[in-house]
Amino acid sequence: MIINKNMFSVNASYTNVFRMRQQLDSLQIQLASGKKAQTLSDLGPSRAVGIDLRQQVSRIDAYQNNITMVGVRLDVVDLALTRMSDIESEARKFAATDTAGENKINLITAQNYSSSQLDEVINLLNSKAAGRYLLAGSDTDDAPVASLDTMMNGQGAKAGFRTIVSERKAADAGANGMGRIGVVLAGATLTLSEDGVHPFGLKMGATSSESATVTASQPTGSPASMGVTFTGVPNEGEKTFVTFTLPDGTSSTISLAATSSATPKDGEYTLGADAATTAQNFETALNSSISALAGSELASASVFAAADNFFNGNGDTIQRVNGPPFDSATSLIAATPSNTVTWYDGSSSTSARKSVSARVGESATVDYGVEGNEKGFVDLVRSLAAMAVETFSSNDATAEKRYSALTERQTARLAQSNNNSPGSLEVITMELGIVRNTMGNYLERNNNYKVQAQTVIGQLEDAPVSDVIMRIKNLDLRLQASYQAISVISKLTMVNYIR
Amino acid sequence: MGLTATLSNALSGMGVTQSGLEILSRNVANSGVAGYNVQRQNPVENAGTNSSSVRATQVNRAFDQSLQNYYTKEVSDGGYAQARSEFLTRLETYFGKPGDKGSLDSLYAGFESSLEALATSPDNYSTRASVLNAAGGVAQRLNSLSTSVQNLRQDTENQMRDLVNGLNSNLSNLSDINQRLINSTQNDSARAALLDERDRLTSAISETIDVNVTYRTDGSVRLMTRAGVGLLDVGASTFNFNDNGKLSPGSLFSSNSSQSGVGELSLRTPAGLTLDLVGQRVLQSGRLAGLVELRDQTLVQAQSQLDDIAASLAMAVSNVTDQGTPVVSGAANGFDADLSNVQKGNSFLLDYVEGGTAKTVKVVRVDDPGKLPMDSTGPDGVRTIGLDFSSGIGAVATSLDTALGAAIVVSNPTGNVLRVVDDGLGGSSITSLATTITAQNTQDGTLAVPLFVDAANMSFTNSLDNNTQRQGFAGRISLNSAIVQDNSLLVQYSSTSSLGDAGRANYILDQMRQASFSGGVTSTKSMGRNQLSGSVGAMVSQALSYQGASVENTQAQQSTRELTLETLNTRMKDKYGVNVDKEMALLIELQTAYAANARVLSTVQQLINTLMKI
Repeated sequence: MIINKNMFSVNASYTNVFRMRQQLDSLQIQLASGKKAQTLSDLGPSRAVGIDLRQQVSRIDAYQNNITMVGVRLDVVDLALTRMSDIESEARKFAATDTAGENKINLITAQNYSSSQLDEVINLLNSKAAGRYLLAGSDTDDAPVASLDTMMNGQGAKAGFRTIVSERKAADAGANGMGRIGVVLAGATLTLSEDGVHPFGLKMGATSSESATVTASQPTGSPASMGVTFTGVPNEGEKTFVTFTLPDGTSSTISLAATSSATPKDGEYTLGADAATTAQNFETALNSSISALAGSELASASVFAAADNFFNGNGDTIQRVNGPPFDSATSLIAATPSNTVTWYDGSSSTSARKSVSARVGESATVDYGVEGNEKGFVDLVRSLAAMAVETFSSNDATAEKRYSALTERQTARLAQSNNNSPGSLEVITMELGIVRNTMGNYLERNNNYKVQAQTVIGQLEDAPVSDVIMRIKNLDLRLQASYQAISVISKLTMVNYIR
Repeated sequence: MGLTATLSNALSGMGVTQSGLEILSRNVANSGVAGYNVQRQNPVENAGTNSSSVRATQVNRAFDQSLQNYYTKEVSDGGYAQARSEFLTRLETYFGKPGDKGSLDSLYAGFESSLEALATSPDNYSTRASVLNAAGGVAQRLNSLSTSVQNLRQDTENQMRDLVNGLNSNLSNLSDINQRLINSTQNDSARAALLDERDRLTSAISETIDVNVTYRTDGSVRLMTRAGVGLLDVGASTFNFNDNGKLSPGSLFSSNSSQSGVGELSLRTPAGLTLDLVGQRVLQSGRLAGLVELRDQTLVQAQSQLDDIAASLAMAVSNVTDQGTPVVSGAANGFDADLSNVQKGNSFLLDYVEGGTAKTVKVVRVDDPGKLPMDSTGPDGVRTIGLDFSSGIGAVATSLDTALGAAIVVSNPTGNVLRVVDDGLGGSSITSLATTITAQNTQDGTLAVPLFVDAANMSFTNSLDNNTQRQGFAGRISLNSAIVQDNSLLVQYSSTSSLGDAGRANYILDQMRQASFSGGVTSTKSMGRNQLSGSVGAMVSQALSYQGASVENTQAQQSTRELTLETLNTRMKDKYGVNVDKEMALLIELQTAYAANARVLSTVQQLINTLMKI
């Protein structure tokens, strides 16, 4: 009914004035809001472009947020890595002294020192930012590493590292403390043999001799055996060597020198009248040397072997000695989560970095996952735990030897030459540095793109102030002139002039 | 002859002047009244044998039939454009301006951003909560838009009811006037008033419905629609509007009145014939036609676009595609697919080469026998076959085997496994077999998650059965209540997966960006050109652009109509309107004429007096 209300009753010029007034209002709104269009239809053909660009800007904002968030996380990881690297070098320095120190001070403090360092490393591995564990790969919601106490002493039915070490030590030493080796003398021939096919104890390495009258036979068979045969009496001072491989992969050589003294010192055996007596004396000396080796170096090697078994790296399972009995055990079995503490509970993937990723650009992602069981961390934890689990009493005769065997191994494991191997702390730091660099590039690129997109949106949608003001001026003029004209014309009617 | 003649001439002049003044006063008094046509006296010389007096004949009413017809037509078109523009402007305000807070595109972009944050911090409670917030925002916006669209449709019906009432009373009034016009005993001025009223009523009617007006010599009119349906001849036809209750997205027009879900607009002729105005496409213009078009097409299309957005949003998040496992059976190669989880509306896509030509077949589960058989090839070359899965995969294999011909062998080797192999002779080869299913549960091992669900927490599988699940889905889409209760389900795709695992978040994000959808089958033929397609974001942007453009067009159309009407109004004002200046000039003229006649009269009287004194 609206149309017919003004059925040729309102002057067309009035309608035009009314329309100008509307235009003026809409220009005022444009000036106030700074936008050309107030509604969907006003936007015109730029509509689709604007929507798409704004969608892209919103995405870029999301990427920028991601970059900021990942940056914060990398900062935290960086702190942890720097501190761990410091701990590593401190431990390396400590181990490098290699001696018990004055008043055996190193010996006594070693355990406490290592255990406090281990505690710190555990805390660092459990670093978190805003409730997210950062060194757990993708399992960010739970602490990846067990506490020091749980790890060392176990928890309820779950065995800790200490138990694993003692089992391993028992398995390596054997019942008679001879490192699972049997020594049999038949005539002038001494045969050393392993007591079975298993990964424990001393393994036959090699035999050799400086003497022409001593024939050394190399390991054969399975279980392996090797021997030393005296064909005559060696000359005094001539040495015979027996080499064993230790459970952690290192080797140790017993060297026995022939002596004419009836009271041979360590590393010597008394020459007998004939080959058979000499062989007998050699056996006695060898037995005591093996026993000493088993009590010191083998024990230290056992600790490291246990550390390798317990602190499983990526792709490995936790292994325990298959027992009891442990001293005659012949195999390792995989531990179950119910009988053994799992030291690392985060995610474990072939490529640790790829375990966590974030999108930083339209088709760009950065991988910044760090997993607590990467080689660098595991090596550090193993070395510190091995040191922390051992007790060195100044009264213990074997303490000094065990200590130096341990420090020797720790030095090797924490050596700087490992820094280049994949998964070392240094390599992780470097890889994360690259990620940070990539993100920096994207941050800049995204910002540039965003500015461009916003400029285009602005061109499409912003009302140019000067233009709007000019239009308002122009309209104002026309409107005033129209009002003036209407008022003049409305006075001009004949009615006013009829008398 | 002589004085007597002079006397009677002067008297007749005075009489005519008086009646001229009467008409003039009527013109001036009605100068502001809409639809008043200016009237003019038509004096003629009355030549007697010995006198020549003046005589007022009929009163002329300004009227131009061709102008009037043009006006009637334009009013109809104006009414049509105005109805559309009014409603679409309202629709536009519901959609909001892109980029504004709360507009569909901002909400959707916010949802994507929140997913991005989720992919970076899946373990953070507040990040997950904000994803749900944003998702809920999108769903609610779709709900409210859908409600608004349906309310607009409801409003069109309310207006139709009012219009029909108005039309009926106008028609019966006009019929009355027709009767009185036929009666020729009335005086001229009363007749002119009736004609004014006739024209007012005609234009009121033409605003509502398109009419052709035939003016008879006696001044009465005959009304017909442009399509030729008589509205008023001797008797008036009656319009009738039968309400069909509240409108929902499912209430659509059908020419079969028992299936139609909308109000029925009909016309009953005086002869008792009833005509369905919408079904017979009688309405061509006028406000009523505009309203019907809005109700049955424009707004239905807006709804279906919203439904398409809602459907693609739900499917992007909840659908997962499994590639079939390659299988060799004798000389034949092909794929096995496990169809046990295929829901109604889920499908599998088979790519194969037959005789050197690559072909794609999409098999959809349709259990509704009313929709079967379904086998058509779309413009993109994809052949869509609907099959009933309810009687087992064996039956599906048999039907498909028949449908695909001898070169492709389809079998059901075991359980719910479908095997598709080539003929083993090199005549054909199977390229791929991919099954797309909807995840039913939040933790059934797939990365997909039914985050958006239909009413009653039912999963959205895009079922084509019955009325199709897509129809009106925008009004029902909501968040899965299980996820609302425990937002960690947004991340944990199995009960053992870690909260830090961004797999699901990344999957959803990828699906949002890459999965491509197209408008559903609810679109009627005329809407085929405006089908949305692409990623969810693209669909949102397309829908907004389309609605914006359509509002813009309608508004442009309306302002053109308004301008035309204005021009016509100006012309009619010139022709029919009262020009007070002109009337005043005439007034002076009449006054002078009256004075002159009186002067003649008094002179004649003096002459007669002189004569009498003799």
